[in-house]
Amino acid sequence: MKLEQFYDEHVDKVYKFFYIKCLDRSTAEDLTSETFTLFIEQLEHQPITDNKKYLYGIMRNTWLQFLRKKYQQALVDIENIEDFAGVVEHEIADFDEAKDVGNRLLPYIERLPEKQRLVITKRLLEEKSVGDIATELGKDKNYVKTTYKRGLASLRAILTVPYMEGSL
Amino acid sequence: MNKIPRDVRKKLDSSYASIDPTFKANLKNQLFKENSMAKKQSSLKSLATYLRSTPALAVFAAIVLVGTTSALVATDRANVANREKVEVPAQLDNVLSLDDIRAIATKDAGDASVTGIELEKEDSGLVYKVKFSDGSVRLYDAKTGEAINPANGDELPANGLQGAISLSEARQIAQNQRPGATITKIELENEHGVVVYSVRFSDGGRVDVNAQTGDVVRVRGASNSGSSSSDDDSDDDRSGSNSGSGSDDSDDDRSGSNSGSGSHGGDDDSEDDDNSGSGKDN
Repeated sequence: MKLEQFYDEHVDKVYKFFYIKCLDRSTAEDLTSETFTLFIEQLEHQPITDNKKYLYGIMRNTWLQFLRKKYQQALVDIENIEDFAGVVEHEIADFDEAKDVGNRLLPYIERLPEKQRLVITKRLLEEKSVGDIATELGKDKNYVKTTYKRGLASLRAILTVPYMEGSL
Repeated sequence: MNKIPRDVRKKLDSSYASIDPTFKANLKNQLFKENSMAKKQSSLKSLATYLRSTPALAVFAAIVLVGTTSALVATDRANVANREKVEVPAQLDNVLSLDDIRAIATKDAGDASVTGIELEKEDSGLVYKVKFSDGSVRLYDAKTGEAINPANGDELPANGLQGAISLSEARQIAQNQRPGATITKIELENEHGVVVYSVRFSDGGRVDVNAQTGDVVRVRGASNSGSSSSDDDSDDDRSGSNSGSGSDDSDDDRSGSNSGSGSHGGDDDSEDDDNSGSGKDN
């Protein structure tokens, strides 16, 4: 029963971390499942003194493998992190503390090309009308509408494949 | 943040970042049930090794060991057999389509109309159970369409059976919501004006899939526990167009369309085709 309790204590965080990183429920569930399956298997073969540390080590490697497979990048930075549990806590805290969706959207909006970023920020976060934005930018409404549509398409693309090189 | 499109908002909403309780429970069962089986077999192996070094008991112990192992294997086989007995299989290529069965049943119906079609596994094999508006029910062999017994149950609309997704797709979508659970019945029915595939599980669980869009409109866990679709943390990842993963936002998916992010003041708000995202981006 101890292991089951351990599972209950940690599964939410493991899932949440994966979800925050990939923004895809199915992927997060797969990675969570993979992490715990490997953890349980390893327990059978060797004594483990610190379950939490071991679990987070597996989690780190699972995430690393996923990144390599999906993004085809070697990410040495992650391998060097010793306190991956700390990283996980930090990521989850950042996500939870940004209480509304707009704040959570900021890091992704910042990755847009400048013109799109400007219009998207004013439209989605500042909730300004197309007319107001056009006046502010000294452009016509068609420009704002077109740039907005393109910005949204770019934003959706980013959110579908949210990982950015250089991050964790 | 009313102007943020729903599909975008969903991804970053706290509820979607929280683990699905059904997934959590299923994974736990899977991990610890399998682990328990593995331990039992490992214990038996250790016992056998010990007894080999004690010849006097070896014969007696061997009989016990074989008996216990056989019981475990038999239990496992029985579980597999039970599942095979009731489970609607994943491979449905060799069964007639819903349209075919509807056409056959309609000829038998007379003035009555078809109100529901269920696919079930019986002892004799896969059968379609067709319900009519006059309350009668008729069974048909799912492969041949032959009536199995004469007919002795919200009516489907005239084009209600021309679903955009197939039975196999609906089955997969539902299975993805409840991995590992055994599907015992798939029913096409009208649920409050929405044509859905209602997929039932051996543990009492149920998943309703919109027959037109493939979106999940309801997930109910074992023993009638779990939330209904209105509170479901299902995001669009598990919608039909994505071949089932994740869960769906019931607000959008029940209607099969995005109705927009609410009213906006100011000019040009009608240009909010940002809501064209149907939540199926993934």
